[in-house]
Amino acid sequence: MLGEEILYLPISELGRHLRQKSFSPVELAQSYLDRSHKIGPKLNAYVTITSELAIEQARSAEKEIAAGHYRGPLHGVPYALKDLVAVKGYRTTWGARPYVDQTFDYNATIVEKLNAAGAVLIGKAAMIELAGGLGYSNGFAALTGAARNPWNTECWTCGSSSGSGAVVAAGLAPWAIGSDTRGSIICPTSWCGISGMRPSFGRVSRYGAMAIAWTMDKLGPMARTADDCGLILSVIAGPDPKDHDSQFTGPFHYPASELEPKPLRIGKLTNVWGRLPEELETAVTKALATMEKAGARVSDVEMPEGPFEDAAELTILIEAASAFQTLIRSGDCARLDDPLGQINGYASDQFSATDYLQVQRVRAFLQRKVDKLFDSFDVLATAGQQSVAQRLTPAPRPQQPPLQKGPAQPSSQPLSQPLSQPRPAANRNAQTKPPDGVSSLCGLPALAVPCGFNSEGLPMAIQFIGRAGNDHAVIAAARMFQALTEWHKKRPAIS
Amino acid sequence: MSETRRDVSRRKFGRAALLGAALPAVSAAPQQPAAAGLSDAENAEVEARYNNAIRQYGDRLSDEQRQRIRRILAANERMMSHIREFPLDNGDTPATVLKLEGGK
Repeated sequence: MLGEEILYLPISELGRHLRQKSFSPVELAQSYLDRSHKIGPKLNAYVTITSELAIEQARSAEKEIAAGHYRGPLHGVPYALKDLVAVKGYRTTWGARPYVDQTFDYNATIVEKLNAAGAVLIGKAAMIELAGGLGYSNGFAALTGAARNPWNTECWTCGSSSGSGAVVAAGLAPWAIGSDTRGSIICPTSWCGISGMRPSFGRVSRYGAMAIAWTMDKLGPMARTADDCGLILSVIAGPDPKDHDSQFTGPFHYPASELEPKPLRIGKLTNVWGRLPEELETAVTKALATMEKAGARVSDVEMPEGPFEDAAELTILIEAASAFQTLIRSGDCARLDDPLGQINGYASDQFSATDYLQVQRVRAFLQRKVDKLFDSFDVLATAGQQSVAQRLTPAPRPQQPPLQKGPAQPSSQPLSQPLSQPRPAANRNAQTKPPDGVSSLCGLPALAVPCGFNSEGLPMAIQFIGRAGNDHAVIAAARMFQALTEWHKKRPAIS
Repeated sequence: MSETRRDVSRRKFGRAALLGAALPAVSAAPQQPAAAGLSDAENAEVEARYNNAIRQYGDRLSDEQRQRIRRILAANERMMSHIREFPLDNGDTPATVLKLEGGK
């Protein structure tokens, strides 16, 4: 089995080793599989480990690379896939009890693209049930139990791409695919000390992925570095007639230095998150000072006032009520683990068509207001989250009868504080002004990377938010920061 | 509507939103149907929606769940209230797109 010094390498380095035959794709896949089987259950990281498929794909990559047919940066490189994306022949549970045996007879577009790139699927990563689509109260709202944070297993990974965060942080795979409707890539990325990107809305096809809110759902990479995110995005992005909201006509080229802003103009957001913990505020300030010293132009900026959080929340609630209409009308939502998820759809079902259109009319105006900020800045910067990873508390509370088969039983221990992405209506706190509502509502790309560790050894993160369609700017900003720092090279002590 | 007029209106909106934000996120007591921070008309709308939810799904819900649904509906109404306060003109179109097939 290959050692951690290999398994924590970024994609470009793994690819170089594979091309130089330092080790084979099969050896690499087997090492990640062994580690996934050993550590994965401790973290509740996976729903399904796809061992047979991984070895089959790795053997195929091995033959092709040996024959000199190199498909590109992901050829022979393993990954995990959030369990809301369809893989033919494998369960796709959406992290929820009512779908525990669900299978599809086709691959999602993103899976087809990754297959064509020669990537190796290690497993289907755990997630919050329905990715929080009907609301949830804590990290235990998951078919496989709360995903535990590799930096401290008493803490949560955040959601809803909870397993994807755990997988990458624990070195069970070098990268994973997550989904983000309002913060579900950025939050686990931040809490797990990895690099994760929410692409612009419409950049990556969602055909074959579970829908929560069609006008806000995105799929994106979670990996070791911003550079990794760019490489992955260059493979998974592109137009798809099967996705109604596919917005870009051409491929996403990376690297593309001619598209990167120079010098980088960074707007430090001063009116989001409310009051941050001092250590986190200091870490973000230091990060931006480091970038300024290296030539970036940094100045303060305020996010415009407006009902962004309300519009984002309402859009998700109403679209999810439609997306999960069958579950709501049938009453099968009662089989969800989270008490909020069991009933929230009944309330959301009461919105009117006029309500929805009113929200969408306000949304168009808000989009224009936010877009103007990017006349002066290439990226906006702020903390990845309002806090570091939150602790899980031992307070058992029975919820559902145990499953007769399938993955590990969901634990019933609630978190010390209700934290969720997207936040359920009953738990939201508009006063903290999180930037994820604004950026998700307007389809903006964002990339979060680690920028330090707090006194308890938990990762802290900075995020860069770009103009809709300018994914290159957020990658460039995060890559610039990572070229100047070593935070992304730290790894948790887990075995 | 001109951007200037709309900015003035937005400031008015901002004050209204602040007043709303000063209220607890979920303030309705279980036995108190009227939710704080909502007008009479809005409370009436919450009540109507609650009654409709119970008409549709009441046989599946415990008393505790019914109370929670009422609180959720009040929270939803507060959010809608912020949206309705935002000034819009007749020609302000929604962020929804009809994508033409065009023989593809």
